[in-house]
Amino acid sequence: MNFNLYYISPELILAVGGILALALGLSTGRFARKGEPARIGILSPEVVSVAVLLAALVPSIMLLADKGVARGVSQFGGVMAVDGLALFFKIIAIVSTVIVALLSMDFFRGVQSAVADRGEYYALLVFAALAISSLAASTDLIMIYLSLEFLSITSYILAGYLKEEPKSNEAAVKYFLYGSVAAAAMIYGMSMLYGITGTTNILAIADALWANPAPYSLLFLSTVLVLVGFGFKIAMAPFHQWAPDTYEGAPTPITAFLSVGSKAAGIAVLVRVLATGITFGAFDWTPLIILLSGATMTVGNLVAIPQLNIKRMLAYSSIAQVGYLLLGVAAMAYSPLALPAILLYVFIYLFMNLGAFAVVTMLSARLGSDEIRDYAGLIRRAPVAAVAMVFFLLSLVGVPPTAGFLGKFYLFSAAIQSGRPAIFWLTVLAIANTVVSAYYYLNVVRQMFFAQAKRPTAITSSRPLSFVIGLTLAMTLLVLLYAQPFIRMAHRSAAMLMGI
Amino acid sequence: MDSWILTLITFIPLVGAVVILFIPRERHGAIKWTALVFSLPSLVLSILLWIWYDPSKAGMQFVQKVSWIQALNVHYYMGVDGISIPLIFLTMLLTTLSLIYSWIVNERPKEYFSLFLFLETGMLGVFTALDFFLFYIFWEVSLVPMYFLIGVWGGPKKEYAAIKFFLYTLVGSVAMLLAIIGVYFYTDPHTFSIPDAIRQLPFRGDLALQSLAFLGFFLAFAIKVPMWPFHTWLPDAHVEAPTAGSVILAGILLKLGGYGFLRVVLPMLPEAARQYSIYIAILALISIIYGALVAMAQRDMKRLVAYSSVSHMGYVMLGIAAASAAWGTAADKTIALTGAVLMMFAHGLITGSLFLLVGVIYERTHNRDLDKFGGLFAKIPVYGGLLSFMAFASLGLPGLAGFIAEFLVFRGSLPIYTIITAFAGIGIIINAAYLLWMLQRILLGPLNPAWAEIPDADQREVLSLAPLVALTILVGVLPALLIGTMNGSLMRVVTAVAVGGG
Repeated sequence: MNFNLYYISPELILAVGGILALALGLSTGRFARKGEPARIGILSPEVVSVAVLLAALVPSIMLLADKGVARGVSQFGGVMAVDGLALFFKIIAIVSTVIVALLSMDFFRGVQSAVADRGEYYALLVFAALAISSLAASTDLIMIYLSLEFLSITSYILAGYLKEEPKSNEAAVKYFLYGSVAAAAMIYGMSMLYGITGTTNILAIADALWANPAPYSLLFLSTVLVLVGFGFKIAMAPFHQWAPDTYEGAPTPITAFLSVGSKAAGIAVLVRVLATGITFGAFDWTPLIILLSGATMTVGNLVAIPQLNIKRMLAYSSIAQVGYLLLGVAAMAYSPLALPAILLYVFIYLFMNLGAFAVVTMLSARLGSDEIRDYAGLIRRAPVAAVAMVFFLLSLVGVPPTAGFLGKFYLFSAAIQSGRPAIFWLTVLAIANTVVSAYYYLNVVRQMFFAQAKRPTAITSSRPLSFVIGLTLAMTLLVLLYAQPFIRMAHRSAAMLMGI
Repeated sequence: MDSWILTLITFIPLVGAVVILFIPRERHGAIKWTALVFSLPSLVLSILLWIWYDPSKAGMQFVQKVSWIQALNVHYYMGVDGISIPLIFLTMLLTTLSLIYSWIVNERPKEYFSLFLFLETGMLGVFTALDFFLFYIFWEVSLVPMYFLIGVWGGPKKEYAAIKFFLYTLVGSVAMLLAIIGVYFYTDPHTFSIPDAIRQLPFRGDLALQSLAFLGFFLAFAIKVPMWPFHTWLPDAHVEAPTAGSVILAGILLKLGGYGFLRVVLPMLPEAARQYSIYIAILALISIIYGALVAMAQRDMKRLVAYSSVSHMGYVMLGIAAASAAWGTAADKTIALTGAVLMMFAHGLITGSLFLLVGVIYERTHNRDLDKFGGLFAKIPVYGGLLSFMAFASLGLPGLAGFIAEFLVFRGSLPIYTIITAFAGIGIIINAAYLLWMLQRILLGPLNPAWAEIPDADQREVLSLAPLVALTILVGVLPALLIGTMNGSLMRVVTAVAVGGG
């Protein structure tokens, strides 16, 4: 077993820190009596978990900047990789989980049942970050399966965390049922891959397929089955049906987590397996991905239009966003810009989507509603949040001067650069979808700015919320206006993918 | 040597927009004065820009070029030529006058004036940007505040009009985005610089690809102009927008489309421009006749002015089509193109004024139904005089700005598209008919007793209209002021489209 403590330090910190947060939750968290708001001290699980996550962020960034890591280092005998992709998604996982933890501090203030068990909750968040990190780093089918299940199980529990709310229970159960079926399909596909190639290491799979080309039908079937598992995680059509119900019922910060962190993990593993495992040379998956991309963005956008609940709307919107990301995946075999474009888009999506969810979190606690029509006249009641929300929504559409524009611009550039007619027409479909999406995103703006509030009382924010909204808004503008370092990071991470 | 003047012109209003956000919302006076104070420097600078511009030199002037996103070779690249300078001045003039006119806005003034200044930056940016990436950003930035201006301060159907405006324009924008990306990958070295792309002529000799790029740009610009059949957003947006919003929409936002054809399509995609010139001419003809006929059928005064815009912008497009035709002499084409740009300028002055005048009467009567007016000339002579003046300017009375523009378009286009131009002449007659009929229904005939007490135009209203009246006369009498500035640049466009691509 070869491993280097420095290379695996982010995972180590997360694992040890998660256990620490759990233990501290048992000792300090329980002291909060029912009917009292949670007191946040230096040793409370909230603070410890955020500290642990930030502590793990430091080595992740250092490793990504480290020239010694160069094109990737294998750990544990080829089971995990420390490479650009893994490190990039570690940063995504940690940053998104920190933001979700901050949102949770605000969200659970008023939720009695959750106050007592908050040690578990924050420990689970840290474990979820660990699961994403290890999923993005996995280079072995078995490790991929284990990490994916690890992430799923933590997510099931978190989705059902509002134990006294039937909707939250429903969210968890639906997620669990769909997840189990998807995982079963995926492991079946993986076993077929093992049968074809005789190995579970994805780099070795690529070599084996290269040396002994396998029948097309067999590869097609196993790829589709593996994609069921990944597609479930990223809510890709037609495996997206769980998403709206789960998003609606789960605690809002967890919805945010599912739509960003958990999705990013799925994208990471999808990219890794297609780029370095079932490579393009062995099996041309481009038409398959084009089909899935087109279906995903169109279904997501069209079904988002009639939604009345903002969490459901954002659920479908995040399905559509995955469709755009898959456009990048489709171009991956032909365009060197595609992988950097995917990474850049995930990075931008992290901030714009979590920003939108920060505003939703703020309002769902204070309005007691997630209905879009209850956002009427918000500009009068919470002007800063309303204006910030406009920028997040415009960014999700891809309208300048927001980072979402740069993200889409980069993805479309990769697609055009591929020079494939089919990908070009998929891009045309994507821009048609962009216009459709503007309709439902702006519907929220319409309520916030054009409609009159029923009760024009002011809505106040809390400190963690204000911090999150400020940070995400700043990044949503900065990544376009000062784009160079972020683009360089995306290119560097893409270039450091192990195995290509 | 980099010049900062364009950056100052473009971004001073944005600074103002941000400053206004920090003024308490109940201090209306402070908000309005701040808006005006942050608008005036750009107005002054845009006049100085015109004076300092040297028309005898080829190429862009007052250039500023700073590397922005190295990975994509994107630059912060600003510069102007004889085509953009008059439009920058027009933008500043109309926004400043609109701000003065908007002094009466007391509903959510903080947001209103902040958005207005934000809008100003977007429009100025489109006219000054020379990098496609930057151009696109400004293009979209000018879209968002107008959406809010219509949606919050608009008429009864404001929400519908606002989203329709946004979606229509977005369709064009995203199509243009694909075309821009295409241009980037078909230039070598890859570039977003508009002058560099024009020099390289991407897709040269490949008409299929060039047509695809042409289609992308065409959609964006034709929707903005708007040309029939892409015009349906316009009546709703114009009618529902608040008065100052309509002024800016008609006066400047429509010009972004015409400007795009001149700056991008004609010089950069000359083969496609020549190939499709005839179709643009036909669409322009339909716009001219259709717009005028529909205007004639209107009872709503604001709708009438809105449809007259469709008709008048048709002349602009006719001039542009003639200038990009595959045959015809360079002299005729330059004349047609000069007429087109003059028409843009004159239309900005005249239709801007007409929308202001619609606003003036609507505030007093809360009525825009032409049949419910009548006999107002005796009651409000100053207003009647201004309205008559602008209506005559709009129908092309010699000596005023609209005439010389129409004349040049016809003079230039006639030898090139003889039949189409001849039919377009019918448009002039219909234009005259509905404008005179409008005057008759408002100003002449028996006085409707409901309006017996209405006051005449006040100082603020006259102040916001007087410069437009003066300029309409000045341009009509001394068109050389404008032509001298833009002639060189227009001739270069004509040459580029005539010989580009072999």
